Amino acid sequence: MTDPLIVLDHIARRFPSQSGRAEFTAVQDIDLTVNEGEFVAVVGPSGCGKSTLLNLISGLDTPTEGLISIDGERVRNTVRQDVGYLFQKDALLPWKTVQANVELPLVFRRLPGDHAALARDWLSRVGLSGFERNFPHQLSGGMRKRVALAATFVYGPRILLMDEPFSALDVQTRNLMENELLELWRQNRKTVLFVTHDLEEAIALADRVVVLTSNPGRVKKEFQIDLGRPRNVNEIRFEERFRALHEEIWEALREEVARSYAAQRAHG
Amino acid sequence: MARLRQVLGAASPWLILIMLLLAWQGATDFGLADPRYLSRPTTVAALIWDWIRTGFILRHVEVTVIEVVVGYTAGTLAGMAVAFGFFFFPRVAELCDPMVVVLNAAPRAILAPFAVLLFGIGLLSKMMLVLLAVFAITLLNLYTGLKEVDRTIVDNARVMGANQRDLARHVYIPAALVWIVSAMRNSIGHAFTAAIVCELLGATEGLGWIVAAGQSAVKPDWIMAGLFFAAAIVVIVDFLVLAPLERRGSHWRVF
Ligand SMILES: Nc1ncnc2c1ncn2[C@@H]1O[C@H](COP(=O)(O)OP(=O)(O)O)[C@@H](O)[C@H]1O
Ligand SMILES: [Mg+2]
Repeated sequence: MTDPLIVLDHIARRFPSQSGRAEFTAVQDIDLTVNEGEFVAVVGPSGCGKSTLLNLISGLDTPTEGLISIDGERVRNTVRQDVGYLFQKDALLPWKTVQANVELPLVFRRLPGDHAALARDWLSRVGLSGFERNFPHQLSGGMRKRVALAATFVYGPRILLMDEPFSALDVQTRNLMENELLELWRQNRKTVLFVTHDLEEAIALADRVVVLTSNPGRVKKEFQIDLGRPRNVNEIRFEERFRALHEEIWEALREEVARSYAAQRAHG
Repeated sequence: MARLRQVLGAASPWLILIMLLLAWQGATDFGLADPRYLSRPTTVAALIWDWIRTGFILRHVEVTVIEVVVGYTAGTLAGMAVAFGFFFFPRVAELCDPMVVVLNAAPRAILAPFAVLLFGIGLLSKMMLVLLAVFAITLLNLYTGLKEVDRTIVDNARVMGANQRDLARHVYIPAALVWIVSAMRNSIGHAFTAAIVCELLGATEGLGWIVAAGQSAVKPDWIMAGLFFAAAIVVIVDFLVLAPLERRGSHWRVF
């Protein structure tokens, strides 16, 4: 077997304290590997450090302890150029058109080629032909996510980090986007690290589900998802194997969600 | 009571204005107030018309507008330059922080006598005071705005490969435009106030001088008419230039 593409070796991220209390540990003792072409979902209660984890892998943030390497190369202090990152919040530039937003990474990377044509091509692949001249605020939340998806795929990153990308969408749009993502992934076979707090979404999409503990986040348990592909997220939920997996993983997740909820209540 | 509030709320602001004018007129007509000190709407209106007809007001409007235009332009540009400087060199911002706090908190009108002493009773002292007021407002608005540029937008641009220059050009400067326009709207009133306050203290022409002359000669209609022109200019500039400018930018003002 080949070496894993992403390796997290015993990493921790602590933030300096606010108001003189001890420093705050967001994630701790994280060991995780992701193979090339694998679709891994990370689940855990909110606040357990999922976004922190993606920031560390992208190079936007640096771990306090431990080592991250991608393709055998240590990640530190610089943003990785082979990574695409879909944020939970909207991150399109509100003052640029849809077309210009999708061209932007090509401009930033000084890539050769016909930027306009490439952007148009990806916009049509996410079903947004005809919206090139619109501004982000003129689109629905789901359409904005599609633009962000196109702006990520357009420069062909090898690794795709996704932070609860669909959590703000209504259920129908969300299922549609999940299926579209699976289709794009089938065509491109990127390595995907998909963060969510929705266990059903995690199982429906991923090859492997990693459950994190409540804060400070550690890897609690990993589960191989042995469901066939191609999948349809609307239908797969009703399969026997899906239900069994859901039950098994929920067993591990439930405790953490309860603990996180109790901690939040304790802090008011 | 609820009904009254409802009626008042529904009435257009213009109606209230007309009612106030009528009340004022009535009070002076029926001897409730002394027109020698308060004048009357009809007297003021006649004076305004007279000044327009004879062209008397032109020179004074011109003087005040020149002071404001020069001070306002210089103040906006200086405020922008310093705000960007602070943003890209946080060390400098730290050093200057106490000065900025004072500049913002101190009532700047107090500096008017000083400006007159230092720069004379001509236009320069007014321009300097306007500059200072506009500079302070622009600096604070823009600097705060730049610091609040959405973290996710910046992170996203960085992941997409933006370097510092790309960030400035594609993220910070466009974001700043929003704040600059809002600062420009904000500061136009302050700019006129600064010019007029300074003219009140020492000038030989300008709208503030008219008001001051009205006061020393006990001619309340002069004060009222002078104030009318000052207010009219601010409203016109805001309505014709700044509000449309802000509206133009507002189609992407959704952060
Ligand atoms: N820059 C930061 N400074 C201080 N605390 C932070 C910072 N970023 C995240 N945290 C804290 O770390 C914890 C994990 O945050 P996050 O990774 O966003 O969780 P999740 O994405 O799982 O909801 C939270 O308690 C959060 O308040
Ligand atoms: Mg998060």
